[in-house]
Amino acid sequence: MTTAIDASTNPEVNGTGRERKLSTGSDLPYRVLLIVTAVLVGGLFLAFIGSIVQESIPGWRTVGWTFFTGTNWNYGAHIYGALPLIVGTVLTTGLALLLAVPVGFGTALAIVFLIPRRFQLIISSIVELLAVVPSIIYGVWGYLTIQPWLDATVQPWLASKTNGHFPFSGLGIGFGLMLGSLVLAVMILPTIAAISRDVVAAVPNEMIEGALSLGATKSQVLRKVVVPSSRSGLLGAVTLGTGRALGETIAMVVLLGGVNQTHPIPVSLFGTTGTLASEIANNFGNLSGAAGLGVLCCLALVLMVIIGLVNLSARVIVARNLRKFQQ
Amino acid sequence: MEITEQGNEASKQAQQAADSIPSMVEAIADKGPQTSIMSLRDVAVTFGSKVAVRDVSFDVGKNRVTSMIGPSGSGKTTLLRALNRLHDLTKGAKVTGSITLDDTDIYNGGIPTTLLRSRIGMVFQRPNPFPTMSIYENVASGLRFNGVKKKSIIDDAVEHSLKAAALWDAVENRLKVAGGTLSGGEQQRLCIARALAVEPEILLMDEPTSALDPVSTQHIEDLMSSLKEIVTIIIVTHNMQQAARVSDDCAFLLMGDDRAGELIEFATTEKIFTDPSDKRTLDYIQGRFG
Amino acid sequence: MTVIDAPRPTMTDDERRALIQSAARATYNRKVWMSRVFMVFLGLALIIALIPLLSIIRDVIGNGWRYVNWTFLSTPQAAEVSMFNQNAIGGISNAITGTLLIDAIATLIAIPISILMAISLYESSGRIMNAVRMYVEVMIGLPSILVGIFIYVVVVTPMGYRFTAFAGALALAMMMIPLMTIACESALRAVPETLTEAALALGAKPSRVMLRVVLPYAVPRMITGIMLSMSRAVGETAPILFIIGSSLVNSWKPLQPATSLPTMMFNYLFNSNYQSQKDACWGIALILIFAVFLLNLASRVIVARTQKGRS
Repeated sequence: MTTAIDASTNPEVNGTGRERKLSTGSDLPYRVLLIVTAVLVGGLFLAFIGSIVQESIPGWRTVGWTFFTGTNWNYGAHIYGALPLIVGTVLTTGLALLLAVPVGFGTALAIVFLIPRRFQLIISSIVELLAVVPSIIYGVWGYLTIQPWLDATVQPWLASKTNGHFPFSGLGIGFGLMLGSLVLAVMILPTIAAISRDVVAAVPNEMIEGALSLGATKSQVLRKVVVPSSRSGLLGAVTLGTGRALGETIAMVVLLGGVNQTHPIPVSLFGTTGTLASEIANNFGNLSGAAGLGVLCCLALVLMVIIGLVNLSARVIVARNLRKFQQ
Repeated sequence: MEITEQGNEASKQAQQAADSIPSMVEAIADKGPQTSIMSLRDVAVTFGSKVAVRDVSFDVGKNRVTSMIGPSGSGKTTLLRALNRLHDLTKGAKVTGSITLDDTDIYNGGIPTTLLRSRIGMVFQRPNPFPTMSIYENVASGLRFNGVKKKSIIDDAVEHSLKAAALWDAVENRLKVAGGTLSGGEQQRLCIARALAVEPEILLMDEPTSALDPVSTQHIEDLMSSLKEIVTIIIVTHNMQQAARVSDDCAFLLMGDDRAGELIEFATTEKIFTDPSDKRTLDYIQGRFG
Repeated sequence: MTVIDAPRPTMTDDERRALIQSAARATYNRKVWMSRVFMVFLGLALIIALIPLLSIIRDVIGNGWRYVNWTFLSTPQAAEVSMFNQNAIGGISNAITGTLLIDAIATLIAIPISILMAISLYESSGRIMNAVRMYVEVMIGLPSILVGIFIYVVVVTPMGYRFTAFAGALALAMMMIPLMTIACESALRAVPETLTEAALALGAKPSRVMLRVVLPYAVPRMITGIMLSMSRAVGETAPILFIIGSSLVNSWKPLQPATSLPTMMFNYLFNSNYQSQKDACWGIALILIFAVFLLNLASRVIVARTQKGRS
């Protein structure tokens, strides 16, 4: 995970600094073997995208443009308006990021610059290990620990305090947008915090001392020097967290509620909802309708495009930052 | 005027006392031939149980360049970093003895650390401009850290300190460009400008030319002789010729038998390099070790 | 140097110094106060982060430890849970068997491909290879459910809608390959160039240098990367949920359906009517976390030991 970020944010790794050993033509079999591998693996992943595109074609034929404009989704009843699912995906991820990004950055800075050294190792180990805990376990925790708490305590309290006004309208049952976003936030938090920790810890000490020697306070050093000089890495951490949140499937199936229901566009945090990924998984087990698989592949394709756009914009931002400072 | 009188008096006293050379050296070293801005008395820096440098006492003359020389391990840099309390960050680091700035103890005299550091600037071994800031922002950063918000003051200070660091002509037209795009020597001058912008009374320089080529080194050395009119300079260098060229006073440190650095001799640079009173100083400047 | 003679703005140096020092003094209290507030916020963030994270650890261990016994580990799940004896849910040996089988096959498939792929990335650069590398990196971020769809389409459907452990292994291998490739490539890149240059200078063939010099040096780091990739794959649920089917007995046959620990958890949690099965998820979670932590810990130990040996 960390290596992936290193590679995508560190220009040196992506650069062309290495000498080419392959140019030695004398070693033909070796060369052929490597090229064949690269072609096969490349082909495998092309086939991957190609097959999902191909399978989605019957889906597009069935749903047409209503796929993006329809405001109701019910797979069982063959109502294929994916807008609520797109909104659900963006909402769960957005809310999760809203919670996890500030807390994650704060945690990273706190680990490196606030807490005593002897606690640093133990706390960053906890964070790193939780970053590799499978998402199904977050699902179990959300289902068995958080859902009853939301249902019995948090949501009744919120409902009574706000008189059921937006965005706390309707009857809270624990499951739904609120539970999903909350658990999603906890799930991506260790990833964001662990990578951010590595990134801010890598800021050269001489930068920090340089700022201190000018009379900066600790918070000025962090806000004006440490955070700005690690922004590419921090963006990478957020991008990875975003990708994980957008594609999270199993925990969302378990926590968002509303299986085999009609999904309108969510308007309340108490409401049940679905995401692109969760609806694929919800219905994959019992495909139905003329274009059953095709419609799910349409969802998959939309998801892929959204994630691709997120990654692409992150790359563009990083590249622009680099360019700005290398003129 | 006062200065020379003091100096004359001291040497007269010394001559009158006897012909003993050591006492004369002591007289010069103790009183110094100028107003002192900073004095160190029995300063020691320890990390946990390890003593890094100890027994350091000397006065830093105002608007003079004081160099600290000595082989590696003699605690020069450690000592320098004690002067603006950079050791505060290091767990287990402790500075004992007294260091006073204008007669106020910098550790116990009630000066807040950040205010102290804005009065005692520092330039580091490797140029460390802030990578995400433009040239202008780099120089302005210290002012912003210290609560200066008015653009006219900042503009003026940026221009003034870039001129003082002899960098203005080179960067006047590209102030918005990142500081990291400059050459190594220019980056170091940018860091000097950045430190000067806060108008410190003392500028600490930790081997400021060790990462630079000879031409850039020459530039920085030239700069120092003009800078001392506005700021007192304390420079750590491993390059004896540099110390001889740029400094007025010189402290020679050496690692003792217990691997702790100690002050061997402090005197005017001329004296250190022509007539040192300690045999070890002579050995060092003659290149017998280190 | 004519620095000091340069035309001066109106202020003298002393005035300038007084101005700036007074500004610094005037804003000092505010700046220190702000700094404290900021640091308090950082501390709060840490606490807010630790509460749920520690809660997960506490819940998994607190609720899961009583399931960790030989009977639970060694018996398969009950074929049917009776309403009148809801606690007789059996154990999880069928899921352990399935997980081991699927992950072992997946790893065996992924390792050679990933290493070869890493070598090709290492040995070459230029536009095409950079594109391939970016491609591999992007694959790491793609949602795992999509891999499930792909294997369903190209493996399960052509085999006559047969759910098999092998299909699951293919899906997991596909999840592992990008991770392992990147990890192995960075292991190769960590080999000092002086070593390879020396060997090449002696006239050795590139393949020989790779086999005799680069690979042996890179092996510990590669193992680390492989184990980390395995730890990611072992808990994956989405890609295998709809392609491995389920098996109530310990089955070591790749071409038969299988149950794995994550899919069992999903089914107990989501499709079961019995609280006893939902609660058992804590036990399965504990065992799964233990496996993941063990793989991570072992990889850290390997890193630490090789670094010690080489420094």
